Amino acid sequence: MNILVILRAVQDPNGFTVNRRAQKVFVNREQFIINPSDKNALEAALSLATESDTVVAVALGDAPGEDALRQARAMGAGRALLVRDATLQNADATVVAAALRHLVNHLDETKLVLLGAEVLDADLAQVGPRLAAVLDWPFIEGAQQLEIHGSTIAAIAPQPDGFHKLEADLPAVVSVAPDSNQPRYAPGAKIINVYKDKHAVETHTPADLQLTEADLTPITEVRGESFPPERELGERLEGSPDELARQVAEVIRKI
Amino acid sequence: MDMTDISALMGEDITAENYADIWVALPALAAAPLLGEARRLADSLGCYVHAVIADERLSVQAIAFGADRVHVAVDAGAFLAGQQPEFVFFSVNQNMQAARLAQRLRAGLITDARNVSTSGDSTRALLGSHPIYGGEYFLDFAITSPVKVATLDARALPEPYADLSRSGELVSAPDSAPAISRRPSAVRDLGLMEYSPYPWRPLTKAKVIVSAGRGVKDAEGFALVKQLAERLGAELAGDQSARDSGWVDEAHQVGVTAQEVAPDLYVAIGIRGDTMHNAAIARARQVIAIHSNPDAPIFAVADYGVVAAPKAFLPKLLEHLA
Repeated sequence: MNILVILRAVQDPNGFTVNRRAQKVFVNREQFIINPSDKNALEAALSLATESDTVVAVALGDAPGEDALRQARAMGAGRALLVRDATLQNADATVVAAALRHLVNHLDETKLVLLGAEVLDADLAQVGPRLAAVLDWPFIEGAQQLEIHGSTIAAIAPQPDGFHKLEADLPAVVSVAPDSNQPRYAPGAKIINVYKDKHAVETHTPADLQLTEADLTPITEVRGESFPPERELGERLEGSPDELARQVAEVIRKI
Repeated sequence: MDMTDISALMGEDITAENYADIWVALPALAAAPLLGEARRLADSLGCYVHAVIADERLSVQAIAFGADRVHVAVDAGAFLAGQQPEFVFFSVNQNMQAARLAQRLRAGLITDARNVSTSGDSTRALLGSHPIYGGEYFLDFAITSPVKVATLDARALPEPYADLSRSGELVSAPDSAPAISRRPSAVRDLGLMEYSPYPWRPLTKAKVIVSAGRGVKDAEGFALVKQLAERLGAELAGDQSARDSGWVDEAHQVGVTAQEVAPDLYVAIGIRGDTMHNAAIARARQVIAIHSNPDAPIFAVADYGVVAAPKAFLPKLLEHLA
């Protein structure tokens, strides 16, 4: 059975600086990393997979996505699939969910789809529940610890009153919380090998997956960037010691 | 799964004309600022505001805060899937329900949307900003689908104006709201777990840090700091002087030569704030500083400063946080 891990390449936050006064993002180095919580999802998949399972890393987009997939192969993913299309790198959540639905149908024998619960550079955390809805699979959000028992998956996930153990029947979609595990390092030799291997990453085009024009039509667009106000000088709280304590408690509660 | 199922799941052929009004999911009164926001937009668009509440007793407040019609439904997402909303607002902790509904109605969704407005033209697009890179900056989105969904953070919105003389209507909901999933019980809750995440997480990734310096004076003072950290579920840290006193190790020392941190909240207690320390907390979202010396450099980088002796102040603070 396949365990799918959806990876997204995001721009490395160490490669740019945000200048709030100039209202601009200055890119120093154009470099990409795997979205951090997607990396936790990959680690979760690799530790969940039994001998009869294949971990299939999946990415949409072009060069950055392909790099992410090579890293995933070096970390231990059995297969890597790229849906190569430059527009998919910045596609909106409906298009991404549609592409992934076609991919899941194309692969069959998929028992689990894992993805990161947070996406650094876009409003795409909604892809998990959207994909679960179109596949009509159960969805667990923000999972911390995953276990597969037969045909069910159990996870510890946050609920309003604390952490609960949740269980769902497979196949399922699960989003993995950032920092919920420590992603393994890829051995150097393996990294060299996957970059030498021409067939390390299988590529598909949207047409291969029978994606239609309607599937690829976005309904949200990015119209620009905006910036939070510049950090202001802080305020000195005044009052009696008791009054001060109350004010600080209030500030803490607000966060 | 046959084709009709798929087309049902992907949403029916949706045209703009049938979809109207702003609908707000209001699970609890804490989400009331969403109604204020909806009212503001509705007044500029000239449409109605519907509130979907879980508890009928909230209907009076919902109307006072701006709802024209109030519906009672336990699962707002499932209820709304059977309605024809043009705009839907959820709270930011209901992203999952919002995404499911959005997929069902072929709608665009902006999660954690800030500065929500509508485009003045005939497309009636929903505009909103979504924070990226942990709030470093925002992407400005526009949703152009007939149905538009957004999740909003009530804490970031102004308190709505309550007008008790407003009139509104409590609509009794039909019992047969269609379920979004045909397997609604597919996820089973096995109950609360004793579980603490991130035992290994480095200080650099902590969300809340309580940090001590020489100003806490002695082990007794440091114990109070420790208590505060436990109360807030925070990581305990210290500056160079705390390490010299043997209270923290290098992995928990904040400083340019030790750990540079970027928490949502940094509480500096008895830390004077030398250059090495203050530079290491430059990326903290909010800094609260407590120090007895009003001229301590830490106050220059703090969002909230309190001039007080930590040992006297902390017991009071713990009292107020109880």
